[in-house]
Amino acid sequence: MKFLKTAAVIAGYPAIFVVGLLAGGYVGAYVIHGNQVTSSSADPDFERAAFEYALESKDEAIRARALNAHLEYLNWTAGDERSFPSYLASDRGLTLARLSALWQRLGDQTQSALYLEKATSYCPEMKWRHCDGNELLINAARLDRGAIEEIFNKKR
Amino acid sequence: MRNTLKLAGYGVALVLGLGLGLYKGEEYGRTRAGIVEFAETLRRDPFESIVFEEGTDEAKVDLIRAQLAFKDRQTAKGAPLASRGETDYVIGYARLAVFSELKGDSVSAADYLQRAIAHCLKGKRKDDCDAEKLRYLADLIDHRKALPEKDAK
Repeated sequence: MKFLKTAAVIAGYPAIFVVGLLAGGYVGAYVIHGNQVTSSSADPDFERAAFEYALESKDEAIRARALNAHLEYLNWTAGDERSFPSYLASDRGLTLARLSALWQRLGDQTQSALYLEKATSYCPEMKWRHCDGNELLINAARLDRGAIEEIFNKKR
Repeated sequence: MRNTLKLAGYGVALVLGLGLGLYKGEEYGRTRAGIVEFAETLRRDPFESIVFEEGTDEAKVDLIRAQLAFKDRQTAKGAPLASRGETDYVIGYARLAVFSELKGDSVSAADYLQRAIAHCLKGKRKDDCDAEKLRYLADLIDHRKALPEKDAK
């Protein structure tokens, strides 16, 4: 009996250590940095980052979903730094052009043409020097290559 | 006596655990926030360089204002990768001042220039804060002037 009691006391130390570890870890990760990133799906920054990971995906289905989600997201960014009119229009136009290129790759000409038409409809708001379907598709391809490729092997 | 020792031991274990947990947890939280920020930057960067290359002056003004607003938001939430320096603000406001001036709006041009100078004086290069130098910087960045030739050595 005495042996068991001693064992319980000894086991208590690591147990309490682990409790402290968990509590400290929680405070460190989620309380101190909680305003910078949260796991709540209501947090727009976190949502955006999730889209942005998906946009780099190689799987066309995931890309299409992410691009559509991104368009949807742009609809409720009022007050955000993206709400400057030409900035927002450029983002919408380029995202639609990427969807057009995506449907082109998948072989659906009608969808591709539809999205390109939608993309060019943003041209007047985008305030670019030249803005037509071709120009948008060229730049959409630059975005499709992905940021890392774009930065390190810049081909124009 | 033995009870006191036992309790003190538990206290020490708790404090050690809390300390190590805080240290490692903070590291994890910082890394996680950094990854989210990096993902965001990875997408913004090529998009913004396309707008910079293709846009008219009007689009560039919106782009600069968007970048400054983004920087404000990053600074407000203490984002781990955001630079704490003033350079982005100085260059941003200097460029906005020149764009306003080109549009003929001298009131907001003066306002933007004031802000650029105020941010510049908060930074490290206080000698380079006069209007002329800021104007030169803005002209270089927006390709109104060619980059200076390198001195032959």
